[in-house]
Order: sequence, then C-alpha cells, then structure tokens
Amino acid sequence: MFSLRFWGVRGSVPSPGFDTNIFGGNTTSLEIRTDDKIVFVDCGTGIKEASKNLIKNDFNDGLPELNVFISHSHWDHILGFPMFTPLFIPGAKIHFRGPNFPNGESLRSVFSYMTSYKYWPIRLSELPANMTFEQINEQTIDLGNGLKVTSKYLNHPVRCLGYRFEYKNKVIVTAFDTEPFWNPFALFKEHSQEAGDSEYCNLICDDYAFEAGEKATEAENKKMFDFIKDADILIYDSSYTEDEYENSKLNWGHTSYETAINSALTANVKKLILFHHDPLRTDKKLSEIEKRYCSSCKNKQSMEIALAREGLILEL
Amino acid sequence: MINSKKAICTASPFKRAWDGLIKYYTHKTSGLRHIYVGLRTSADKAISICDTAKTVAPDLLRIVSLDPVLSFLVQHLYYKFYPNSNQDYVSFERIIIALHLNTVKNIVLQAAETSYANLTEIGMDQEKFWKHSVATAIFAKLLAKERGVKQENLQEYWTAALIHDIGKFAQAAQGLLVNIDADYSESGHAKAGAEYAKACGLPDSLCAIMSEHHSLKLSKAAYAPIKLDLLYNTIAANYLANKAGFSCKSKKGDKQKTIKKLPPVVLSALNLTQKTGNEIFVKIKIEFDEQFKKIERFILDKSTLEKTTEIMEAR
Repeated sequence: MFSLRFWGVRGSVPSPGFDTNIFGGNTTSLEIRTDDKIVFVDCGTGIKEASKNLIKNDFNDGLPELNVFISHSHWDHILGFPMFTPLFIPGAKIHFRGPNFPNGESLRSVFSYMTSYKYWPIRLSELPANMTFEQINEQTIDLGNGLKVTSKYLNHPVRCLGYRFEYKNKVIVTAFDTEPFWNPFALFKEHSQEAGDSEYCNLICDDYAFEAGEKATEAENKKMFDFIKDADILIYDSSYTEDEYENSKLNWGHTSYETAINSALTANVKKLILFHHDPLRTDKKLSEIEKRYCSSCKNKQSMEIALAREGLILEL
Repeated sequence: MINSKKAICTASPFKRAWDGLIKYYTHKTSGLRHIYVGLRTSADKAISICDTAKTVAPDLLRIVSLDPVLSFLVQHLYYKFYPNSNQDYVSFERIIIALHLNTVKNIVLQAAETSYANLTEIGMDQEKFWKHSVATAIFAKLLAKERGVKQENLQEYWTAALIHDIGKFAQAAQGLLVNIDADYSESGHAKAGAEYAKACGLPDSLCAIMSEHHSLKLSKAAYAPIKLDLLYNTIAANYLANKAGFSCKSKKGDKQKTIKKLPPVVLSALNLTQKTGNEIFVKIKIEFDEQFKKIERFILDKSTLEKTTEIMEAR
C-alpha cells in the first residue's frame, strides 16, 4: 500500500463556510501511508480531522509511530498542531521534522512558542506524547522498510521544504509553498537609471549582476525540475491564475495553475494535484478552474490533473 | 570568552545585563537562537533598505556587498542551508535567489538593528574597520580587473578582500557574529578569522585568504585548496589600502606587520614587475578615489540617518 489522503487543501487561512464545503476550508495537511508507516505532511487545521480518524482506526492495538514533516512555519501549515490528538496520548511516538531557520531557532521552539501560556492552555512541555524534533536541510532520510524521503528547499519567503517520498518504485512529491525561481536583478538597470550613478555605485551592482542572476535562476529551477521529475503523484502549489500571478502576486512564493501544469508536464509527472487553494476561491470558482484546466489537458496529454479537495484519497 | 574585562567594567548596568542575556542564549542554550550583530557604520543604511516591504534585490546586493560583516553573515547563511554544496565561492546573486530575498533581508535587518541599538560591546573602531575593508575590496576588484581576471570571478576577489580581516571583528564581537563557542583571544586576527570562517562553513578558499593574508610564505595550514592568485591579489590590495591611508590598526599584541613595499614574491605571483605594478597602481588609484567617495556617500548618507531614526522611533 502507498496511499495519500488530503485532510486540508487551503492556503493562507482556514476558510470554512457554505462556499467552500465541496473542496474544503481547512489548511494544509496530508497523510501518506505505506504498509507499516504513517506519515503526515504539515499540521494545518486539516490535521484535526486526521486525528479523529487516526485515533479511531490506529490506536486500538498499541501506539503507532508517527512521522510528521513540516514544510515551513507559516501559520497555515502549523495551526492545527495543538489539536493533534496523539500529542495527548502518553507514550505516543511522534517524530517532527522541518526546515532549518536562519537564526538557529529550533523547530521545537516554534511549537513551544505557539503553545505558550498566553496563546494556548497546555504548554508543549506538558504534553505527554514522546515527541522528537529535528531540523533538516536537503537530504534523504530512510524511514525504514523501503520508505525514503528526500527534502528540497523551495522558493518561498521563509525557508520551506518540499518532500519526495519513494516507496516500492513509486513516488509522491509535495511541492508547496513555492513559485518558480526568477531573477530579481532584472530590475537593476531601471533602478540604476532612476537613482543616478552617485548613489547606485556601478562597481558593486554592475551589468554582471543580471547575468549572475540569470545563471542562478536557471540552476535553481533545474534542481527543482530534478526534484519533481517522474513523480507518480505531484502535489504542487497552485494558488493563482497566471493573470493574478503576473499582475500582483510575483514574489509571494506561490505558483499559478498554468505554471504548475507546464512544470509537471515537462517533468514527466503522471498525476498532478493542484493544491493550496486561495482562501477566496469558492467551490464554484474552483469547479470552473477544474473544468478548464483538467479537461483541456486530458484531451492533449497523458498526464492526469485534479484539484485537491478534503477527503480525496489516492492509491498507488 | 574574548570580551575584554575592561569593556564589561565600563559598560552600563543595562548593557551588562543585555550582554549577559545574549551570552546566555548564544552559548548556554546552543542552537536555541542566534543573535546576529552587524557594524554600526552601515546599520542606518541597512535598516533603511530592509525595513520595508519594497526592498529590491539590487539594493540588498549593494548593502550586503558593502559591509564585511554582512557579507560574511550572508555567506555563512548559504552554507548553513546547503552544507553539502561543492564548497566553491557562491555569488551573492545566487544566495539571494536561493534563500529568497525575504530571508536574506530579515537577517540583514536583524544584524543591523542589533548594532543600531548599540546593545553589544564591540571593542574596536568600527568605522575604521569598515573603511579599511571596503578600501581593500575596491583595490582588489580594480586590480583584478586591470590584470584581466574574468568578470564572472571579480565578485569573489571583492568578497575575499572585503572579509579578509573578519577575524578582528570576530575577536571584538566575541563570537556574537555567529553562534560559535570558541575563544579566539589568543590567536592573531588572521588565524582567528580563518578558524571562525571555517566553523561558519565558508569555503576553504576564503578561509585561506583570511589565514594567509599577511603571509609571504604560505604556512602549512589546512585551508587547502588555496587560490594563489586570489590570495596575492588580496595581499596587494591590503597593501594599497594601507598605503592610501585606510589602515585598520590592530590592537596591541597583534603581530600584524605593515608591509612597506610590495615584495617581489607578490608581484611575481600577479605577473607584475615593480614598474608595471606601479603603473597599474597609479591608474587604479584614480578610480579608487572616485568609487570610495560614492560608496561612502551611499552608506553614510545623512538623509538615511534621518529616515532610520524615524523608523526606529516609530517602534
């Protein structure tokens, strides 16, 4: 068994209500299972429902070991942590892993902060589960019995990891929150002309900055291509339409539907799941998007495309 | 610890308490939090560039490239996240793109704010250190360019020269630059800088510059591979900066010797004779003067000081 279940598919902020019933309003949380492993990616508000299911089905005969991979520390990806029921079960083994922080802060301190006295009634140190916290960089972790996880830094305003799960020659990749790497030094000439030579000394930021930026962008996007290449299932950030992205969302750390589809096609992905829906995107709008992008691609390519929705289960 | 007892004794009770707190976090609870600190000289400019949602990459590149401490810090950040990279020099453009502008910006801001608030004891003349570092970097780049070094490698020459004396800051800031719990008080600044850089993950080629920038005979230090052209170019630039009046006098007891005349071994390594060397030096000195003034105006801009005061007071 190598399965994937979506418990939260929304980005930015929980979006409950009549307009989001179909696709769901909980923020990001995924569950991946193999024959003997249970893994979660992110602790968005979706993890509350995941907990219920877990306690009901997996805690009857002993305590299963859980692995939780955190993509990054923005609120929508950790908000459900204090309501993750296994934390309250004495002896439950839970391994949390997530990215490094620039100032050396630990992953544990992030959760400790959000469960401190003024924000939550039960402090992290009072929780009875047996928790471990580990910060990782780009590396491969062997979780045992054939399940391997490779992490890769994505392009987001905070350090953020994508994860590539490999099991019995099948691959599931998570790549959110991210946007394609782009060259911010393209603005150099324009800024230089505006500000005048005296302030923007050309010895530091010269014509070569643009060229160096181009090379760096190409290299980083190549690494991203290698990371998602040949995935059986790719869960990819697709928060915006291309118009939205180009008009007002550049550098926000998210991807458009069009770019997600093109990237997945180029990387020979078999099934693409468009993920991290904008909180303002209603069921009606998401259905229109599903119709537009999924059916158009179906006619031309072998790659399957679907929009993530709460409760969706995929098996490989 | 390297902190001089004198500095602690003369500090106000508040500063002493703050220093104690910082030490507690940086050393006693290793890994919990790093408090980065930058140079007071560039803090105003760094805050004015970074404390806005509109920071653009070229400005970030400029402020990072014009400050030895920020340059060192940003290089360290890259190797912290990519410790398994091939350990060659990585350009600031690549770092800003790979780490995302927002991450670099926030770390620069944190370092600038710490030094702006002047809450840490840095036992050195920071402006002199800044001027010497920048002067060396300008000479290094101009000299390298004149000698025909490829444009794509010029930033490496600049950076190596800019951070060659970082050991002095590491000693004066007693490990606050990055959370390294080590005592460098007994080492000369060159050795201290190299060890510090090594501990912070910087490539061996840059560590070697710090270690050997006063050596005319290479030591057996294990910072291989040494890029000889880069090293001798830095030595020459250091000499020119001192000669132009931008020296960074070391504290008593440091065994640094000022080179009176560029020795033949350096000239020969750079494929120069005394005559051709002098011709180049005279030529680049003219451009140096112009560039240094521009950079000084950029960093020490009075309107920036007013803007930064406004920003900090609003908090």
